[in-house]
Amino acid sequence: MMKTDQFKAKKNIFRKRLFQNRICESAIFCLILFAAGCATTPKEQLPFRPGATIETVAAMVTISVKAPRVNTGGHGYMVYQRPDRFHLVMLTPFGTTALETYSSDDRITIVIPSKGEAYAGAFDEMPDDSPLKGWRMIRLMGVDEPLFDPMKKGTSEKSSKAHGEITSFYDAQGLLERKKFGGGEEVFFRNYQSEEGVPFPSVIEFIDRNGARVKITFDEPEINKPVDNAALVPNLEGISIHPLASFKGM
Amino acid sequence: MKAFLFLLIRRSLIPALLGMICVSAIAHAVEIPPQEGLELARKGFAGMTDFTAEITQEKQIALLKKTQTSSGQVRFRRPDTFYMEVYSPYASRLLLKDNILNMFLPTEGVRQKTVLPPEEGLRHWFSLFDRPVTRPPAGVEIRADRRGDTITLKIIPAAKKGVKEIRITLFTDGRPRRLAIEEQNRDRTIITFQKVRKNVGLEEKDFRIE
Repeated sequence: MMKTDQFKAKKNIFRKRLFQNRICESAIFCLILFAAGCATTPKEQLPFRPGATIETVAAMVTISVKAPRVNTGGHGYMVYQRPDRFHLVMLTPFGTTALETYSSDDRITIVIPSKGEAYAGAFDEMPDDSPLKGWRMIRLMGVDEPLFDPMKKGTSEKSSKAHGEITSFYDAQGLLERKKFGGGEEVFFRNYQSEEGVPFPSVIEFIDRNGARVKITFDEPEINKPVDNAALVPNLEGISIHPLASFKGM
Repeated sequence: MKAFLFLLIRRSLIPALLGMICVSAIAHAVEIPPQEGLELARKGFAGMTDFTAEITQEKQIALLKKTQTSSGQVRFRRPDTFYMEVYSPYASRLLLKDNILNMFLPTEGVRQKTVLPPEEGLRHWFSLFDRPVTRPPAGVEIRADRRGDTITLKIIPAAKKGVKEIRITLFTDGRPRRLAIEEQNRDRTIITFQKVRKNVGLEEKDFRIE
């Protein structure tokens, strides 16, 4: 009888400890789940605000350039300020800086930090055989009208001094889908997402009349946040500067 | 409740404290002459024919005040073949065979081939490990320290170009542990190597990017 009681008492202690262990493990598991849940809470998608414009963008980017004799691309990040200023950094697979591009108006400066070299000039001076020739189209990213206007459906046409005739194509909702320029270039705006009500296309693709394609995919974009002016101006201290026409690639 | 708290402490806090004590016990780094550091690394590496590792790459972007973390794997085989794969969302594969660099971005379907100058090829760099280090290489300042069974080499290029400082930590048997690259634009990349296995007998088929 005594032995049975002792056995029962031991069994109870064992059960109690097992229960405590389970509770403890569950608590740790719940904490982990809670932490994971916090990290993956989706951002609220506000409805598109008609007339909202993109003033600034800071984002991680993936770029691919495809042309008859060029197939290149990479990952990096970009800071853009309306209408046409941008700073694009392309990274090596190791994560270090391969190349930096600054643009403002019709000027572009390409900096290769590892070589201490920069190439500067007007976009049109980019040599035809340069692997970055297609990048000339990136200046078309500057959009001088809202990307969302429920009143604009179908096409709208206008002309500008810089680009000649421009035809804009809107979808049924009123989101800008495509722009076609007099020179034969086209820009496609895809995969819109709402960034606090501002419609932002997370994929922009440029195609020129020779079939060269430049595709930019944006990731984790921050829209219309203040951008430091210094981020858009190259620091060329100690860098040797060459004419853009002499740029042959990396 | 008391028992529950006791268990919680025993299961999580005590191991964490023990870990901290162990880390602080081995954290005492001793500065050693650069030649000695390089020679230790060379000797460790001499016994290695290949290695594989899982990596975590942390890119700190000063301009965006953002940190991007990726994971992937690396493989290396003497004398001159290196493979690195970074997984989605920024997927890329790189194969460096001496001075021929092939890169593949699977999501974008981009294939890129670059021929580097021979002096930037792997064969050239690893040939430096073939003979004892008698003096640090020109054009860089090197500092070295030893901490338990790891050596850290801090390499500061004299030219103020892209890279400001490279800090590589290796085990004394040549296995890489951590690589930190700081750039002039204040960006910083840290690659941490995990599950490093050496002399696993890697073959040509292990170095394909497609």
